[in-house]
Amino acid sequence: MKRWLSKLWSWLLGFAEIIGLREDRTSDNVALLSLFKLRYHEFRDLLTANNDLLETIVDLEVLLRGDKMFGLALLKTKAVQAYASTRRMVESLQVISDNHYPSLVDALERVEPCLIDLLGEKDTARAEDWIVPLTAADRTFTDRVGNKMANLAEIHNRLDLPTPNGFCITAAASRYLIEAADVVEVIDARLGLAEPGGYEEASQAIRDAIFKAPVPGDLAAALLAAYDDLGYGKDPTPRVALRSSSVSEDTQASFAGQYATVLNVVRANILDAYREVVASFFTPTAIFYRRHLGLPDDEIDMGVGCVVMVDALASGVAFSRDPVEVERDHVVIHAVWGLGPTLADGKADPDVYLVERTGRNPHIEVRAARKLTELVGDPEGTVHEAPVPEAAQDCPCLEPVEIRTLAKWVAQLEDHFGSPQDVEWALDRRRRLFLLQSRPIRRVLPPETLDMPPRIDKQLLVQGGVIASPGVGAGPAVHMRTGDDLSTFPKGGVLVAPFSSPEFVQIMDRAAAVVTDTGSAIGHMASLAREFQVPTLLGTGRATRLIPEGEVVTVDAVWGRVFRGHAWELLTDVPVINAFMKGQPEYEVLEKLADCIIPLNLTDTRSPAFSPQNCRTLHDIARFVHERSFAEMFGIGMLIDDFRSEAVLLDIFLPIDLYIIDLGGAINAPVGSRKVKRSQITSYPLSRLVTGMLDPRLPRYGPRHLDTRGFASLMMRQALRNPYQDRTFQDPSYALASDRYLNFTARVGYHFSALDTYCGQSVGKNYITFRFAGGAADVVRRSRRARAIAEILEALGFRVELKMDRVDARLTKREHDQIGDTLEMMGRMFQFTRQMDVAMSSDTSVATLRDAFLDGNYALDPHFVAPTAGEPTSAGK
Amino acid sequence: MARSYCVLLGGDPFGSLVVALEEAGMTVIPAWAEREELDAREVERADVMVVADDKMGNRCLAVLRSVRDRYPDLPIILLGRHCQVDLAVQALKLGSVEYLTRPISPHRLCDKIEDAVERRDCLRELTRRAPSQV
Repeated sequence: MKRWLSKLWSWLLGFAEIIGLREDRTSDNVALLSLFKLRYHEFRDLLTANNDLLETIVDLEVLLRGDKMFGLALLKTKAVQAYASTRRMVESLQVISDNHYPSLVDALERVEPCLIDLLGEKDTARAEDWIVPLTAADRTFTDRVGNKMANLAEIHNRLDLPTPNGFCITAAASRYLIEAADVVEVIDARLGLAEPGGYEEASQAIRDAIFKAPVPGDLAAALLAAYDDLGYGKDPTPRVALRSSSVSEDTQASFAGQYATVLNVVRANILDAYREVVASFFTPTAIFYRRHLGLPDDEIDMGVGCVVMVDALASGVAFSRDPVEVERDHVVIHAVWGLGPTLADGKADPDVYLVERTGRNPHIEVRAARKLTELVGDPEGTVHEAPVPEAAQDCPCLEPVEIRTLAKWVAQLEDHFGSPQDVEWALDRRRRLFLLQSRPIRRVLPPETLDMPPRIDKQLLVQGGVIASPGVGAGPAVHMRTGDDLSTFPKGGVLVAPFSSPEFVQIMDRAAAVVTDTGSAIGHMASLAREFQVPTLLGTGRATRLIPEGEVVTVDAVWGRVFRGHAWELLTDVPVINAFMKGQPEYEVLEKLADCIIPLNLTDTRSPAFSPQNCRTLHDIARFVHERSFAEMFGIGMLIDDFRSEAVLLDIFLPIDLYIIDLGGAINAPVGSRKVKRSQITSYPLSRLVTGMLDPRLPRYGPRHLDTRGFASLMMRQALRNPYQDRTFQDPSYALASDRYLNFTARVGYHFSALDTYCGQSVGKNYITFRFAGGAADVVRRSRRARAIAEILEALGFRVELKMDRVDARLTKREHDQIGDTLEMMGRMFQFTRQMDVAMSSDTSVATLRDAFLDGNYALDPHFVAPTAGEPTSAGK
Repeated sequence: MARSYCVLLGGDPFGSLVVALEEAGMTVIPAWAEREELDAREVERADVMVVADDKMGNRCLAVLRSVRDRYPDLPIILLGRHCQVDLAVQALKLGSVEYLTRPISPHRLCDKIEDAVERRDCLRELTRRAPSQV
């Protein structure tokens, strides 16, 4: 009957419009729909830009560790990226909020000068400096001559250890070669848009182009002149080796074996050899490797070293520590007869000498191998394999005194460079030792244990999660939630929390480690954890349930594990970070740049200081914009008055008239449809919410059997009756929806609830905000219902604020499916709590209602037996 | 497949960019590789402007300024590389400018173009229906 009345009413309204008694809303609504679409569009961009900024911050934090090579070009790119993302966020919020935050633009302008002063056009490349003699360089030259040569120069000039003579051809020279050869166009054409898989062909085309073009005359002249300067005394035309020395090589990114080395080069072949080494910048694997690391292809940072060949009797490598067992206090030396490459290729079985690192006359263990062939260079400039004379085959290549000297040198190199070193050496025919290069050791794990975490003899409590800040830490587990008194957190404790929050910054200087159930590596807290270097493992799923309060645990934020007790094996074997970039001019620029981008001063959203005026960094601005964008989008539904003309009615059995406003991809229905079925909903969040609302376990009609045992009052049951009986002349409810967004406002009876959610594949963007207020009963009963809802939401993982009868709740950074599951629970909750306020006669009914809902006892059946954990009904708990 | 739009390609567009955009069904109008001035009719035809200027020099900035003055709602996408920070900041301050770094996949670029045009369409619709809201 009421249904008919409702229809009659809407027909009357329509008639009133036609005869002019009522204003036509259609035209206004079309404009409003454009406004909604625009705001949604901006909001989506804002979320993406926020993610982009946080990713840039992570990149900068990685550089701040100082163990990875970089140049000013990379810093510039990062600075512009960070600025562009933040600017995008500010512009979007201005559109969403109808220009409500003009002072954000000022905040942005406060940061601009810092970026420009730091990275404005000051670093005019000293393009003329193509050649740097080895004797004129040291470690600070890495950005010009590459790592390998800068280190060799350091060994020669600062440590005063013997190296062959030579010179560096700078990265600028290689860029000049590439530019002059018109290869740039080929690089752009082939790599500007290349996708993985197309590298092979692109690589060949680029290398062909490099070989086709001659070395420009001025560069060729400079190069040959530098070569001629090397010749002296008995050997006016020495043979040389040309070795790659890229700026990014031998850093954290090893590029091991990616770039070329050409041995035994005579004067006539130098230019060809030089081009060969430069061209190796574009091998398919090198391209792939750079893409993987996010390094640009067109920033050619390839320096080339030209060093005089040592007429090698023997050569090899030396490790200042055993690369397999770094803990062992041994220098390990490998040696073969002749030139070294057979060793790197693993073709020859080398002698192995183990030298103790302590004592004046350290013990040496010699394991001589049978060496059948050796690699020798000939005067024509080629290299060939030759048999080793029989008498020498089983002889150790080095004498004990030479072994000790070499061991002493590599230990010296380790001290100087600050981390275990991997050194190449050669012994000439006059039995003089030379060092050819030195770089940090990359741990060589035996193949079967590669990528395997070390075995720990302790009970494994938690496994998995995202490493937000790498490291290992141990201490007593302290469970905390946001809102708890964080000042009570003990020094050296391990924070165990259900979700991440920037509020935890307060305990970062005291925490030994952090573990959470949810959270992502690009969140604010992850960023803070890295800033404070607290080992942090986020998104483990169940840490709060599996780690007992007060228990001492070891958090392994390298392999993603938590153990009961102290895992000493992990706690002592902390990887050495060789922060060689610290002290370099580029590093100083990075620090200043990071200062105007990364620090987060706006941590407390409830503080009055949370304002644009207090934004000092791009991160502050982004945080403010991100926070406010939720509120602004939340309010979008309030703009709707009567929007039925531009919306489609969802044709389902519910106590509300639900109209869908499609912002793009929310429904699959022909244009002009007035009604859609549930199956036509393509909006993921709306679909999940509706599924929850229509859960068959929720009672719909008629009173259930009465109970006399006092579990639920008759009044409560009354509330669960036929939905159509509740459907009065209420306002319609609206769902502004896209494929992954939903803003749902419902005014049912006397209460109001609104939900705003984004649910895509990127965890960092996902959230649900929810508000509930009002009701028909007196304020005490209304507050009780609000409390029941608040407690249900808390159990679902929301951060909740409760004021009288109003609930504000937010859930952030969850996986797509988790958000979906939660929305389904909320759909059930909407139906379940409808008109409950009238029935909530006592304070105990709060707990009764909450537990009944969380147990899945939607019918309030007193005989209900709660299913065991893990079954679908308790999915959200 | 992205919808087909008319892309005004400014700066020094490299060959494969043109090919990729055309393969995605876009109409490409090369803008000022050789010429100093932009043709007003071409700018009016365009749905979006994509600028692939390597050095993002002063001339590029001047062109962007004049485009922004005369066609305030034309979306601009900068494909940056070796960017001068000060000039990039200036360009971004013109508003409605998207900044992307190269190399970029054609797929992502087309998505961005589609996004930018959709946004412009919303804005135009709104201007037409309810100028006071804009």
